[in-house]
Amino acid sequence: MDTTDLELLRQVTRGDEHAFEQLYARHARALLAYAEGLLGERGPAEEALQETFIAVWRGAGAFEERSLVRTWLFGICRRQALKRMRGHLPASRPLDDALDLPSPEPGPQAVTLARADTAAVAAALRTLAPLHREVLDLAFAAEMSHAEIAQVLGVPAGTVKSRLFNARAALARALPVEIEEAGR
Amino acid sequence: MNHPTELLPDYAAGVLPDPAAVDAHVRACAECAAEAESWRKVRSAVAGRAAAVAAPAPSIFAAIRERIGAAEPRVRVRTHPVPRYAGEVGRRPWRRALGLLTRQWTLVRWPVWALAVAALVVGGVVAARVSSAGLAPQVLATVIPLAAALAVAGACGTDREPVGELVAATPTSPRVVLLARLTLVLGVIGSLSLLVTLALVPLEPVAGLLGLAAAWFGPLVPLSALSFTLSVLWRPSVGVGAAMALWLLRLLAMTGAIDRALAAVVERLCTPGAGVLTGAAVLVAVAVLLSPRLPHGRAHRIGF
Repeated sequence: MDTTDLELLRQVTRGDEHAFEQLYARHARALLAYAEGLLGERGPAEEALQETFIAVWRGAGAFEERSLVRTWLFGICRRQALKRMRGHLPASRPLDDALDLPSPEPGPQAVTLARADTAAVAAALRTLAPLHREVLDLAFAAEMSHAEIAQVLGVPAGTVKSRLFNARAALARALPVEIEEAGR
Repeated sequence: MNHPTELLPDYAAGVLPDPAAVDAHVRACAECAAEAESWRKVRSAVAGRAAAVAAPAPSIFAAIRERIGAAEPRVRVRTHPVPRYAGEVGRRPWRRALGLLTRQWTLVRWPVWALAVAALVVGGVVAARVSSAGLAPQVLATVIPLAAALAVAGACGTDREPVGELVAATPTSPRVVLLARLTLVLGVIGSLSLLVTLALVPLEPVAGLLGLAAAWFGPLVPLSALSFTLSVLWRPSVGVGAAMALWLLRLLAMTGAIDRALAAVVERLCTPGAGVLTGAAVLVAVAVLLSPRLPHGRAHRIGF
């Protein structure tokens, strides 16, 4: 890998437009996909992407190196996307996150999903609540660690874990019934 | 058996730092294999959706570049110690102005009002008693301007009042608040003084209403302006001190105890006229303009 994100960001702090463009080229697509997943629409997602990078240009100096540059970018993008969200992101319900801790034993939902058709899973994904979809996006599309996701969402790492399992459970429930029954 | 259930999402995502142990378990455990497979399904669906999102159009970066080029944030960063107060006046400006004034009434501390009213009442009584000797204008000219100068210093000069923080946090400009306070104090004192003057007119037919009013209004203007400006720009004690010095000079000039040239200057200052009014207005305007930009407390810290 040539220049790291951190080096690029430091150059951006000094007003280097070329470094800024490189940073954009590296992350814009993933950020846009994330924003579109949250908002469900292209237009507002593009706006969020644009505002994210304008904020990066203006606030590069405020990056405190306490997280990865990528985590920081996703955090900014998330705030910009939430501003554009119709209604609200259903408030994370701490009780749900706390109660549905993943059981240490494999569950029946896993079997349902494991046997499901990929196209059916993709269709079920579209019905998921934004709260669940975004945690899956961060884990499997952006391929972030749980610690990174926790920083982006501003929640404890344990919550990320339970939210992931909740998201999978919701996904399994959204699958067509006959597949679920076939799985049992 | 101890299943690595919690590690399986990362295992399926391929981001587990050391997958060997989990790998071995998954191969031996049918349940965990199903679990891992379910996560793989989730992963391929999620990654598939993300991959299907079209790459951002070049126009987006062009728009970003245009906006940061237009804004040039780093070069033109200017610190605004005074935030811009661009609030709409609203549909009822008079009602708002009245509200602003009545609120200042409660914010000005009560001793200010009590002392000013007491001074005016005592001044009025004394003036009535000496009116037979024709000295009422002099008494009014001595008492009313001093009361006004002290009240202005007490009401406008301090930012350490208990509600100062709260007032500073309202969307109303601090300049407007300051002007409202000055208007209120001078308005109340002026009205009360006019009442006192009206009560004295029958006792003082020679000077008449205009003569009596001019007697106290003349010195009131420079004394209040001086007191206001120095209280706001520096601190109330300085404003009061300067106003009292001028007041004392005037008193000495009236009794003929000081140099005649100096007395003439003081007398001109205390006679209502275009020059004095303009000068006072300029002083007040400077104080109002500068007041929010002052580093409050600096004068206190360096020992003044």
